Amino acid sequence: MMEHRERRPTHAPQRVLAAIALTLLAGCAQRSYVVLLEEADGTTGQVIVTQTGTTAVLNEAGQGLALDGNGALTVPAARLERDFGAALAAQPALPLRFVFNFEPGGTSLTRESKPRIAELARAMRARPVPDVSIVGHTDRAGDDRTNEQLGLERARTVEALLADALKPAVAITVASHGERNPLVPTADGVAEARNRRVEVTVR
Amino acid sequence: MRLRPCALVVLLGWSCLATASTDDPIGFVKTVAGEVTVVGKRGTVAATPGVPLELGDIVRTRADGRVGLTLKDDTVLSLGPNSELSLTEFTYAPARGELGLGARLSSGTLQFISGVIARLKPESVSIATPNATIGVRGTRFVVKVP
Repeated sequence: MMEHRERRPTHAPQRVLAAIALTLLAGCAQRSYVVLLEEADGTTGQVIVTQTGTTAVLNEAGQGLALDGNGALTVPAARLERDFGAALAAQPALPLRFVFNFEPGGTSLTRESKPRIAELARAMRARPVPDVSIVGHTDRAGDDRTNEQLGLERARTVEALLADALKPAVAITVASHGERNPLVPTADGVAEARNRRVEVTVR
Repeated sequence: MRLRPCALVVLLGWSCLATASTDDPIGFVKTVAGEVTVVGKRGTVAATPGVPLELGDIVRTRADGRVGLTLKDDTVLSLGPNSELSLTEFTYAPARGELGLGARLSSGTLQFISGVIARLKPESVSIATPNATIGVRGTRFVVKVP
């Protein structure tokens, strides 16, 4: 009896702790949760999580939140790897954007833009099933309707220049934003070299 | 006898694909491992790299499955095993300012990397789970649903 009584206080807390640890692990394994991560460029954005009656903001990389109303979570790296290793491994190559610039008023590429054709061809080869969008833009010199058309002609010019590189594409979309989507906002009528462009995105 | 329903599904699939081709897909399957399906208007198709995605499609992975998707606005989504993701909203007309992106993770694991819609109009992007809604403000995150 005595022996038994003496043992209890020494062992019981350990057992309780072990039981709590197991419960936490098991609970965690089944839980719904979200974790904010750093982006490829080293920045971190934020997510706003709304559950019945509550709203929480995550804005630091590694910050976690249970989705069963139980509040902030610190998720160890090993747990993240176990839960999300497969999802992270399935991540496709990040989309890449290439900007081709043009001489004023027409469809002649600037000399500086020409090497980008080879860079784009490399990005295409690095993706098993690339899809591509080609969007033409103009500056605000000239009227809207002419610029809409000029944007499209520039996009088609780039599409033709890239014909070889684009062969593996599963889809190509070509569009014009005319002067409505400038890279550098200007007053109407202003010729701005950085806005005379075609943006090609390889996904 | 067994082949007939299959042949029918294939034929229906093709005819639906043909009509759907006038609409641009909203994205594509890019990476696949294990068993993954896309369920949508054209029926159920095995996900392989290059399979187009349409609004309303449901992407499902089995116990050995994982899959990576990209959407037209450069959003990148990837799922681990035993996952189900529905593509519930996609509006991408930046020149007209019409933008919206929604998806629902019913089960499993998802990595989300935001694209142009989240950059231009962050309040129009959300990922739903059975008991929470995640608003995206230009970011990368992972989420798990048991």
